[in-house]
Amino acid sequence: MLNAALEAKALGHKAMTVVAETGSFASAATVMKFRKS
Amino acid sequence: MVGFDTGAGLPPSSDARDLLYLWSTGSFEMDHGALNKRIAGRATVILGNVAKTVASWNSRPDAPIGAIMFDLDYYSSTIPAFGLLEKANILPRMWCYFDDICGYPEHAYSDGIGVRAAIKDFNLDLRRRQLNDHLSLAYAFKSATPEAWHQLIYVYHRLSHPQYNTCLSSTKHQLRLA
Repeated sequence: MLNAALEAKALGHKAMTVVAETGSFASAATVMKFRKS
Repeated sequence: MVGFDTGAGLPPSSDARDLLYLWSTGSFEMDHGALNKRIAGRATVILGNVAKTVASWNSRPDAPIGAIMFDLDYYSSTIPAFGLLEKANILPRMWCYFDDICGYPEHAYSDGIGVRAAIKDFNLDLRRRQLNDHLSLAYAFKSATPEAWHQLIYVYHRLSHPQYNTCLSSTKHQLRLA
């Protein structure tokens, strides 16, 4: 997700969407919380 | 962040490519209360079969899709979920995690069933091959200590993306002789 965010920023985007399909969703949301902090 | 789930566990299937010797209908049923508490408003959950929900969903215009975690277990669910890779508003290179492509002996994963077969069939699509767009294992851990999850990270390269050739580096690469 960090690599994707860096690429989004380099291409001039201020936001990016992350999608999780089923079981990995809660884990991904937790990672997002970690990254934001 | 957006999450897709049936909300009711694995749907019924009769497709042998879905590894039905491993997964039973209704497995992994969602605990709605616990999930909502965990995500605490940081994400959106879209409930329903991905065959319908992915097709009708689009990301915010100002927020292209940059990363996807695939954990659908079934071949027949992963194929329609790949509709996300065909959305117009994505980054030229999209990082993907696949939970179900490498497992234990009892899983008996192979290239002809499950998510590995879905990836193979996605890449075999004639229209995609003509554009050289492809989903491939990411060779991105050159300086890292090898870890099991590295083999679960793929990148979707959309070579036909209008920004695919945009250089991400703002400086010129140069190696100087001492």
